Amino acid sequence: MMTWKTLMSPDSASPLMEQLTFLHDHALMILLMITVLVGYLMASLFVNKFNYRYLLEGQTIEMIWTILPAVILIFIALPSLRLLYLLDEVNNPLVTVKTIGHQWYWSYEYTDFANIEFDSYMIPSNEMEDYHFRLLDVDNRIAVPYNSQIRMIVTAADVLHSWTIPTLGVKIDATPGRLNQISFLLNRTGIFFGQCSEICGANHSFMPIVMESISPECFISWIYNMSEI
Amino acid sequence: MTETESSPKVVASVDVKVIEEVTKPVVAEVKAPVQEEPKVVVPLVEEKMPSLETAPFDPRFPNTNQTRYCYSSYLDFYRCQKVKGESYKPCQYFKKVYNSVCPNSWVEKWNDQREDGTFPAKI
Repeated sequence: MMTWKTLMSPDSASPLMEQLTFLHDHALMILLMITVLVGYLMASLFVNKFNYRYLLEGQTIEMIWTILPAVILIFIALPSLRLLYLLDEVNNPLVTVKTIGHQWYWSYEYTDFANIEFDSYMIPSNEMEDYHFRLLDVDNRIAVPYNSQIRMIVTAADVLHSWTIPTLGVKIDATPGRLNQISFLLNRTGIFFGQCSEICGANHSFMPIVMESISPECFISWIYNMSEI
Repeated sequence: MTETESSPKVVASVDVKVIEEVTKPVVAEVKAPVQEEPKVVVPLVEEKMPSLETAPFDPRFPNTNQTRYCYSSYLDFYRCQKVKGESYKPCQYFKKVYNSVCPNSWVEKWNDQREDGTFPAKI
């Protein structure tokens, strides 16, 4: 989850997010090297004594500093395009979870096998327990089996919202009258947090998303328990 | 000279042995709980729940917007039922899809519209 100390990407819980993190780190490393090089050149300009009044041209160096940036850009573009296409890969999901954004809570539906619907409200700060994360914990979490492809269908009931979980690299707008699909796979068990990412009124900051990743056996028991309620 | 040459080799082999000893019990511990879990849960699974299955990927709707997938499946189910009759089992595929993909509020609204005769499409 994001804390005040999170300067770079959060630890990923999904293979696609892992790849996004790697691309980010790769591109940032190239940028850092360019910045250090330019910074060094500019700093050395202050302290060097090079002086040549009759400078007219330097064809070789001009060739180098034209071709070299093109090569650097190729090094950035190829992994980027590879990941861009990887994100659009077709996959067959195991479970479909629907989420509907309301003002100001999310409701979730699991209708593949049993008709399970529930609302997910943020736990207010005055009702918080010691183990809760302030403004992030909810009363009912979405449970999902790990190592399984999950299809998430996101829509809204009133105004625009946006459903996101940063550790999964997922952010998708919830638009009234439209069903947006996003597919992901969780690598590990755990509890993952996100917050509504499209301004939707007074309590836009107070409608978080909490996803709990559990083993398939536990998921089936959870479905069974929820369908009895 | 010989002492300094031999000492790195001795240290390396000790490290490998230590690593092997450390990982073996960890692997053994991990295996035990995995063997226990299915025994507890399997009776529940077999008695109560079906296998995990959902609406498959439809190449007619490969992109993010799945509104048409939901709406088409809903229409296809009721049209299939009207043409083939209520007891025709293959129509249930469309019902499974629209139940998985469409929000319940949309399905209820369309059901009410069909009963009132105000449903916007022809079935």
